[in-house]
Amino acid sequence: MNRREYRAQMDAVPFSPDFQDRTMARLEELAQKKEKNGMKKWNLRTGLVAAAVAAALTVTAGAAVMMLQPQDVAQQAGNEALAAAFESGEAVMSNETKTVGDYSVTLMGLISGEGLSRVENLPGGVTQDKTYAVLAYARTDGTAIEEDVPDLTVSPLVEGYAPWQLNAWTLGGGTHTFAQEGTLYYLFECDNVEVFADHTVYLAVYPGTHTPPSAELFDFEEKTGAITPKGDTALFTLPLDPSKADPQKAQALADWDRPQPAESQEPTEDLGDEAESKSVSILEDPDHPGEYQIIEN
Amino acid sequence: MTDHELEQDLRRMVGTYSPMLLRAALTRAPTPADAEDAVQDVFLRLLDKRPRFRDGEHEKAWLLRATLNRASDIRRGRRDDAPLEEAAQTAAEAIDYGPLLSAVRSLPEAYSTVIHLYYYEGYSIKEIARLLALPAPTVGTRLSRGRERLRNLLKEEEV
Repeated sequence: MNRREYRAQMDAVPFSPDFQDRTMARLEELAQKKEKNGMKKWNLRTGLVAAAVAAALTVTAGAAVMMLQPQDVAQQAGNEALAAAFESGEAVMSNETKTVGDYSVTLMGLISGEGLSRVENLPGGVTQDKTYAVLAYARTDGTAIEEDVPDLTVSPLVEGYAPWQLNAWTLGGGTHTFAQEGTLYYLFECDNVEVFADHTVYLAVYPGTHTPPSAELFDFEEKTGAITPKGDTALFTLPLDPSKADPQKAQALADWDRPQPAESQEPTEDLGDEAESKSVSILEDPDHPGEYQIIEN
Repeated sequence: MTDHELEQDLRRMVGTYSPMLLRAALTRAPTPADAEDAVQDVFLRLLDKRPRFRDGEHEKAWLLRATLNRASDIRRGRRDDAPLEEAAQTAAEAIDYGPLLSAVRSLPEAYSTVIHLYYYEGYSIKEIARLLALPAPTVGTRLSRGRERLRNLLKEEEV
């Protein structure tokens, strides 16, 4: 690609010469409006306290109603049995929110193993040796999410196990996502993580689409088993009951034959039908640490 | 922050980032006017939400990502509105972007953004990864695949 030619063609695009002036004028206009509105609100608060409280309660209730519940997400995902399980009261409802990049991610609810088995007459579609989690994504800049696939990866991680040895891929993870009213809902399932409940179990959310948790993304301290993200990552600590731990089953899930990746082994992103057949390797430039070289195979 | 300080801060950001944001928006927006709308919307949102930035890099990354998202929304909105899309298409066809820029604009967004930031703005893979909050290997893969697609597109055009 000819960089000079590309720059020349971009520089020739006819943007409005007064763009910055027009933008500043609109910003000043908005600032003035905000100032006026702010004064009005203040007057309302001081003059009509009861009305303001009532209005605030209405807004809160409206916001809660707008967001789907975990059972609604399961229902929309076509899994009636899971919806029933979430409604049964056996699920752990969380509503903890963390920020990852441009997204606010909320862990809405979680249900696992025994909680699923207590739901009577479970039809096909829900497996009792699974964990199901429902998350909701919203953009921090307030714009609506319309696409069904976010640029984020979700994976369980367990203290004491290297992220590249025990994760969504090794635990048979699966997802169902859909966007509704600007929020993206994410139903995640994997093998029952309750068996690891004598360890700290996280649900990690980090940038990248279908990106396995590599040594590039996480530090793992072998002596203590501590997992520390290297970049922008949300770690939700899953509220599991330690009495549900099953070290034997846990070991069986953890024992699988996979070599540990070297620091330079990079995950490649799965772009589905956009993927090209040509493969590339990306290696850190030894002469310029932190810079990467692309080597087309 | 006083009103005067806020105005000064906004003026600084509009002056500093507008050219870069307009170019980035154009890789997704149907027309230059749409790219201007996208950038303007982001500055208005900035004033409305007043997010707190850790540092200048965080500020730049937020503005860039918000602009790209807004430009995508505008493009999708046009797709959902056929008569408007036709009008925008006509307007877009009236502008001769040149073969290389046209080819970049026709790439999937994941590729065009990375190609643009690398070739026009001169950012390294690591810098792009920070700006877009993506792992560096993902950026490298997109850059490589985007270049391959560009080569094929330009070859087809020659034929």
